[in-house]
Amino acid sequence: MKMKKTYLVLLFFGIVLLALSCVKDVDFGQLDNAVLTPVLEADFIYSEFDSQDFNLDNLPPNTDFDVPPESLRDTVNYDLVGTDFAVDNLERVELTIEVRNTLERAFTLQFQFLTEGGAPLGQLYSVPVAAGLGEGTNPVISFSMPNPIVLDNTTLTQLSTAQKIATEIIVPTLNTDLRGAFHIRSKASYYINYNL
Amino acid sequence: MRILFCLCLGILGSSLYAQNKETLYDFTDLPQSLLLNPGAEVKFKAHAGVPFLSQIHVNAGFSGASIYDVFVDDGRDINDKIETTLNGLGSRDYVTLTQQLDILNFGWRSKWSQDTYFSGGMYQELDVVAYFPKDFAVLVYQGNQDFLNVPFRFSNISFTGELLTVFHFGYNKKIDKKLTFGARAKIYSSIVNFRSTKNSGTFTTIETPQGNNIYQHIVQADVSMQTAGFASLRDIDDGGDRAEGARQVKNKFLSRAFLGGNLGVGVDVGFSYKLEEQWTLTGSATDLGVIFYTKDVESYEAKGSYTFEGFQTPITDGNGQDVLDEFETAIPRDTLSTGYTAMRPLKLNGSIKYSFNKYDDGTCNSCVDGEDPPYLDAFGLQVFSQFRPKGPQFAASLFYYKRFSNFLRTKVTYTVEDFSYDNIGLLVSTHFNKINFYISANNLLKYSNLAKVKGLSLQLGFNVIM
Repeated sequence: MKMKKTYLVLLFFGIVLLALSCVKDVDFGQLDNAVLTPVLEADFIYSEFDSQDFNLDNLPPNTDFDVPPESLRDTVNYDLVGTDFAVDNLERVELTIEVRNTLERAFTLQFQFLTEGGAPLGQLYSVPVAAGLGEGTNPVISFSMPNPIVLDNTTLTQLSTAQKIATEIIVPTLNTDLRGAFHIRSKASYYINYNL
Repeated sequence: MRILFCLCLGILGSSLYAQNKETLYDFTDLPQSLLLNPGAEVKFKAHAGVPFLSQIHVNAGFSGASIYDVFVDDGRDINDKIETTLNGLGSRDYVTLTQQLDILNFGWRSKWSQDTYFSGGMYQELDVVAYFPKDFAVLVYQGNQDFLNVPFRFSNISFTGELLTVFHFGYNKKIDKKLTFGARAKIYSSIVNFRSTKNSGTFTTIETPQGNNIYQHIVQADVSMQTAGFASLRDIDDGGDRAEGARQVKNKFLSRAFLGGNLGVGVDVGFSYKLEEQWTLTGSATDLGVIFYTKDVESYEAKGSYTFEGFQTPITDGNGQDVLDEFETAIPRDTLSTGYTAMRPLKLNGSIKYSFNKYDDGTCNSCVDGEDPPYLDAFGLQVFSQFRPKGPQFAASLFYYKRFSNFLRTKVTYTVEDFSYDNIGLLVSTHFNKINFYISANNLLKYSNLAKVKGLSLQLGFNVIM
């Protein structure tokens, strides 16, 4: 009799636990709408140019000279989107380019994405830089047009095989009396949209 | 990724706090109480657990949130709920999973001294604890745009995991009418271990208005992870036959389970002390031990610092710039096979109990022949602490013990833990002749909606008790 009573209690305990245990008021289907949307900030290219650095031949005062174009060109490894994951889940990349100039010359910064083999991909991007006011003055700050440069998902798909970036600074004829410098700073903002 | 996310949330929703067995502690009607306090005041003459069934213990949990927090059907956007939950979590929140299976459990009272009780056996244990890597979860979920100049700390990454078997033998001695003392020697045989607990350093994106570029990305890292028992599993050559691979893994696990793995030693100590006839004080320290990992060890570490400011152009040295090469040179990754030692997670238990309602009407409906009439009721306070990588975890319980009859004995607990204030536990133990069955669970109030549970613990088992 006592055994029956005991096991009835146990049975009751088990049934109560089972009967009461449930998951309610939740909707796991919401997971379909869950997205990761981090924004990652990363430095892009930077460069400093001082007019003095390129007057290598110690030319006399008030003499015009041209900076050899090859010394203002470069190609760096830059895996823009890298993987299929990035292509599929990058909503856009925003490039912010800022140039601070005290050199009394306007110039242009150009860059273009390249394949591993060096073939151009997509458009050539140009950043016109306003002339500065001379050495010792506050630098004139120029930004890319538009600012930022937006690489949307369609563009990123075009650039999916980009492995390098070629840059060139197009500087007009300088004069040995000119004093000043320009400083290029830039960043890339990666907007990710990943559906869980 | 989605599966991983669901798994994390699943564990998150069925959480439990470490190895606290608040209902079983000092429940001296069961021999399993000796595993929690070798100095428990047991009365039985002998016991034998049903092999593989004398104690099944599962304990899993997450200290910071529940499934309900994220998946509640309240019309809000799930992404808002994830963000709110994420913001509410801290780097000291943790996921824990503990599972124990008694393989053998036996004991007997000494022939030469009725005050001495020996017990021994073997059990298997899986114990995993992983702290929530808050900083890097934020980095993944929100990125670094809103966290400029804020360091993401590698110290957030902290986890340990161990699969092992334990061989133990205990000695329980009633010193006098007041004091019972016990100790248990243990040999640990580790099957698999991994740990990463001593990480430091940061990743920071710093704004540099006057710097070379808009930001500096600074990585200062001193991170490491030790493993034992994994490398040989990775190297198993199954020749494309999964069954063969599984057989080899099983053989390795069995070999390691029976003292063929990395070995360690440990001890449990405990006591019960009657302050007065009805007041009892108990305390125990279990798993005071260490495991020496010398076999099949593979550890990884990365140490160094690196600052990235973007790609300098034009580059004047003509060598080009390979950021990955620079990074790997600055923060080299090493794989080591140096042995290591690790302490077992020490557990401390203590209680004070007041017993009353002694059953003594001569019919012995609630006592065992030959024994003193038992107290049918008791209440008291228990405390528990377990040492974990980031410091001890604590719990305190109020309990009420009720012996309804020889056949049915119960204990109800109310436990306060780090993040839970409504944890009710219940243990029911039945004793029919010499056959005993017990079952225990906690967080009973949450069974009406398991989605709200942060922690659950379940124990059950069969014994033969004489």
